[in-house]
Amino acid sequence: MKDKEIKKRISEIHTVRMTPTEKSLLFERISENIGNVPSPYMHRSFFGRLFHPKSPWVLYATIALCGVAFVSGGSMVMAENSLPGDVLYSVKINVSEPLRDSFIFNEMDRARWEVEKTKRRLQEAEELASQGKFVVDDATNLKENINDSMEDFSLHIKNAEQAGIPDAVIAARLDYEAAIEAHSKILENMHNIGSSTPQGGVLGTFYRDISGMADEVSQTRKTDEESVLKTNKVSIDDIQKTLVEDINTTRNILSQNPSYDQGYVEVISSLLGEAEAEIGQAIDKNNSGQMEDAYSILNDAACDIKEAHIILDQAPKVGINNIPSMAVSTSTQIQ
Amino acid sequence: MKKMDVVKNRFSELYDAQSDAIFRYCLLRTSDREVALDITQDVFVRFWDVLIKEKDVKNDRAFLFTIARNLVIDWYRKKKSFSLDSMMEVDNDDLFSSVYNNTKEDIDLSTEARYVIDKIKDLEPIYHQVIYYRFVENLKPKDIAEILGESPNVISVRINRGMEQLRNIMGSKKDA
Repeated sequence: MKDKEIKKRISEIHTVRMTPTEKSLLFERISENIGNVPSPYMHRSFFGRLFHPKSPWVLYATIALCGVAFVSGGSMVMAENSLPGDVLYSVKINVSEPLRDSFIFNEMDRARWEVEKTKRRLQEAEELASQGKFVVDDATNLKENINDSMEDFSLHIKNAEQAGIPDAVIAARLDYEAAIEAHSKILENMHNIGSSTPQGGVLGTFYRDISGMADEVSQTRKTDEESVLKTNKVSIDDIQKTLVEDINTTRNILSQNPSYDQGYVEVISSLLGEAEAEIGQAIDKNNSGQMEDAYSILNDAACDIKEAHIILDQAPKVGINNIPSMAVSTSTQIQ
Repeated sequence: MKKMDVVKNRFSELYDAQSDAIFRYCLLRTSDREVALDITQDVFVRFWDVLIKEKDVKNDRAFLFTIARNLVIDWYRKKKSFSLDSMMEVDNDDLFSSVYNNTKEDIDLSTEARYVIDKIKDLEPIYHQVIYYRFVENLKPKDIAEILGESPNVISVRINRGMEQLRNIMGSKKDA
């Protein structure tokens, strides 16, 4: 054995040392004895190491990373309100939403997120239309996205059905059905207001396609209703009472907002009237022992009421007063 | 920067750089982790007192080891007063005597380190400390001399003789 090796072995004793926690705690104890001395460990937290590094390169890298995070985070936030044709819209569609997709792990939540995405696409169409910017390309792209969401929704809802939670599945289906129906009615009303504008034709085709999708969605609900009735104890009386209360509350809200566009007021009133009639039918069916039919009709009524709520929320954003370009387009056409 | 801030910064930097070495020294001498931590704390508190009294400290590292050595000796003396047996067994300046008598698992040594300590144990006690300071803590003979209160020449001789003995014990040859 040579001297070098002996010295190397001796230096092995160097491995005897305090643990980082011991070292830090000991400094605190010393500091208590001697007064306020800046701890060399106080700034050794994760962020401390980043912002008070020993090497300036760590600081530069941290600043650069913060810059990138700030810009990309800011872009994602700004992209949330973007519309088709905006620079940031591709960030919303290709980054923000797929990122959110990857953080949802439950089939039911995934299905709900597809409902939300469909609503977003329909609202984008409405906002574009209210600005007089709804063109054929937008309609095509938005329809494609809605179709994709619809397929994904069906897939996730089927997986959720296998998990044996039919009542939650029914609620999600009703939400989806109501969202598509409500927005197709809003789009129809917008089309009726500005049918003579250059975008009127595009809007007309679009809302009809959307309305067709809504019919498809409502048909698939029936099989789930049977599963609910088999596994859950359903009280028709309780559902009916809740729905009647909902109808009355919605009517009150509508009466307190006289500035709503007449077209929307008519649609909402009609939906609530339909729901009332359906509740009456459901009571009759239940009294005659046809509980399954009664339950299904009550779900139709619930869907109508949900539609009314969506239109109540969305109508002020796309009412006649908020469509200046459409108004301008109309007047231009008249001249 | 205020004078006090300069002192504070110097102290924290020194703690960061030297506390492990002081703790290691105390742990190898006492074989008790809690005692080693307490003595390390006392070392730095005393060092702080010296700093704020603006006493001239030329070599911080050597000064810290000097305080540590004195405090360990004090600790031995207090310990001995409670145990006549230990007075017979332990030389209070024998660096590793306590490690060999240690029955607790306070010192987590690697196999390599234990092997080296076993060999150093066979050296005459007068060489234990110089070998330790020189090759474990990498102190210069001048600094070791300051700690042990000897002349640098004496320390250099002890280092050479200690290494010679160690070579013989470990069956080694002097580097060409």
